[in-house]
Amino acid sequence: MGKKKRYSFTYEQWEEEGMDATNMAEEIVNDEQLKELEEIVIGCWGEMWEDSAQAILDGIVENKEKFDCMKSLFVGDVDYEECEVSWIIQGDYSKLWAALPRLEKLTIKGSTDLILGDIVHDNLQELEIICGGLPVDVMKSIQKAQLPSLRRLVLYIGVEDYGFDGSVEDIKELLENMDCPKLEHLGIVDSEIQDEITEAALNCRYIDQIHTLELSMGTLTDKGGQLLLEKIPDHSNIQKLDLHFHYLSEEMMGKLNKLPIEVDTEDRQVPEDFNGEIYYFPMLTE
Amino acid sequence: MEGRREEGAERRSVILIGTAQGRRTEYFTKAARELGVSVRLLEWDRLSREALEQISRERAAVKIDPPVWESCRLEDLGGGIRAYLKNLERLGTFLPKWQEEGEDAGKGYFLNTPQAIGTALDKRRCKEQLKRRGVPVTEMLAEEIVSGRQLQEIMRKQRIMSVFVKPVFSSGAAGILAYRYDPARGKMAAYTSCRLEQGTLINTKKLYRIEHPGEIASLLDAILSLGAVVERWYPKAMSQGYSYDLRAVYQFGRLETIIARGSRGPITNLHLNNTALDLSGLGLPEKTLSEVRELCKETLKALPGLQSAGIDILVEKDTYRPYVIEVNGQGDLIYQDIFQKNAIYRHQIEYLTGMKG
Repeated sequence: MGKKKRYSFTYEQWEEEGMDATNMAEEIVNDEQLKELEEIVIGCWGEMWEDSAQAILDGIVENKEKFDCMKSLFVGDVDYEECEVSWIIQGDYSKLWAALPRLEKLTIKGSTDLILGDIVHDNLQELEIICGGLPVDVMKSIQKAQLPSLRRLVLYIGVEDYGFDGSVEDIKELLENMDCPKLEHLGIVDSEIQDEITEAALNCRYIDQIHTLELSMGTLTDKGGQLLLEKIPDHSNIQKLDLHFHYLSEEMMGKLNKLPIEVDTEDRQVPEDFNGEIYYFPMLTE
Repeated sequence: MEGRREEGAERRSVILIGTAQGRRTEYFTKAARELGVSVRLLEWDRLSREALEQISRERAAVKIDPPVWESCRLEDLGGGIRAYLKNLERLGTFLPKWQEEGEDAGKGYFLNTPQAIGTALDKRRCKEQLKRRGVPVTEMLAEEIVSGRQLQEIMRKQRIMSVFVKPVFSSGAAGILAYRYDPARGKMAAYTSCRLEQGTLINTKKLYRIEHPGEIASLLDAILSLGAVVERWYPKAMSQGYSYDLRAVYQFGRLETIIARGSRGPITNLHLNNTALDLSGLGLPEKTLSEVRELCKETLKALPGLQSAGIDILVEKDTYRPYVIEVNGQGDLIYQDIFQKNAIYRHQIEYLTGMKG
């Protein structure tokens, strides 16, 4: 990737000077460097828990000719130091697809008020959505999307309290029906039903062409681990299995690590015991 | 420099007021032994008038280490620190008498004076003193805040979205709560290692994220009732997925060491959950490092009586501007140092005995 720039308001700018998404859009579209930028990262646009990303998305669409070079866009590159992920108010991306035909990679953080609309894009190769709860409407947009070049798809599923309003059936439907014929890297991560998702992922319509499978950051237990142990040898195309942040037993980790592929079982979690009740939490749950 | 002995004078003996057990005593005495200096330990629970008079007769150089606070109850911890402050006061009022009477009158025998250690322990007083002297600090809210409801009202009126609430007297991350509040949507979130168990604030070694307003309100009320400062929450710089701040040890006019303390949450100085990050891997601009050195120098200038201090420094996200979070007049125990060069304690021995300027 070529020249990269991160736009983000500092604490002083947003807390004391009141800078917002409209100011951020102006700053970006008026940047003289813009035409040379291949990668744009948008961090804190102010009070992003009150002010959505819409002004920025609209600014990009209205000035689409200035973004001719842009191949990669990340909207919402913030962390808990600036804003809770679930508080980030995203926006409607429906018009972005046609406005940015050269875009190859899109990363979105936060799922509140996120709308992807009808996705038709010939060049998009990577799509990643990082959130504490992925709405079914967003999943449906991806399921119906026409993304002939998509190679990498990573979706954080999250938990019910923060926007995941579906079930494993919705994920199965997505993975069985999506239209991304070049898919080779699939991540369905950060879920509280990670074992069921493991089964769904192994039944993905593109499972025989995927080289990297991410089932990390969720509540993967030995049940899912056993399934992987049995099924992965049937898919010699899978070269890498990312399971980091999991609840596997050490014995199961040992078995998985003996698979003749790259397996990441770092960051083992231990379930929490609250007054005798056992809880399993995914990594990002807000 | 204050407290230095004159050339050719007899080497001063060293007394450590502290505890028999623990790394501080172990490595301070190790450094002394390696330099051929004997250190006499005076334990806190044996700090009698006779013992103080003994120090007076010996005209020894004194280093004061903190006692050990065992309790995980915040109230006990605060009480322990208050009692400690009284002991420091006692030391501070008694010892200067012999200083003034002796031939080395006015030269100062302490590594750090009891008064200066006490000032640093009081987060409010220390911050105010630094601010008056123009040292960049993470800003405290001016109001004395005593309840969660009052805090929310102030945050709403002043449009401050996130703050840190810290007991005035506590140690490490004990009792610290990072609080975020969105009055328009009525949402809030808190990060803390504190739990309320049957009405008692307990410090744990784990960081919790809480969203339930009732639970947060109870915690806020309990922490604020201990006497707390509220500071603006400046976004900290991050590296490799960790938030980090810096602990600098500055003594005798030079920066001894800086370590970066990383955390997967906004509170960095948790004893169990923090991760030491390699300073060189943080990509800190040279300008920031030079500002950090200047910040340390100005901090010690603003707190007379401290020759050595551990200074917690926040590096702001994106701008990399450093701010003093707090100062610890006994913040010199750095594992990365004692297990390797043990230079911090060696330099203290050299200073106290007048081996080096």
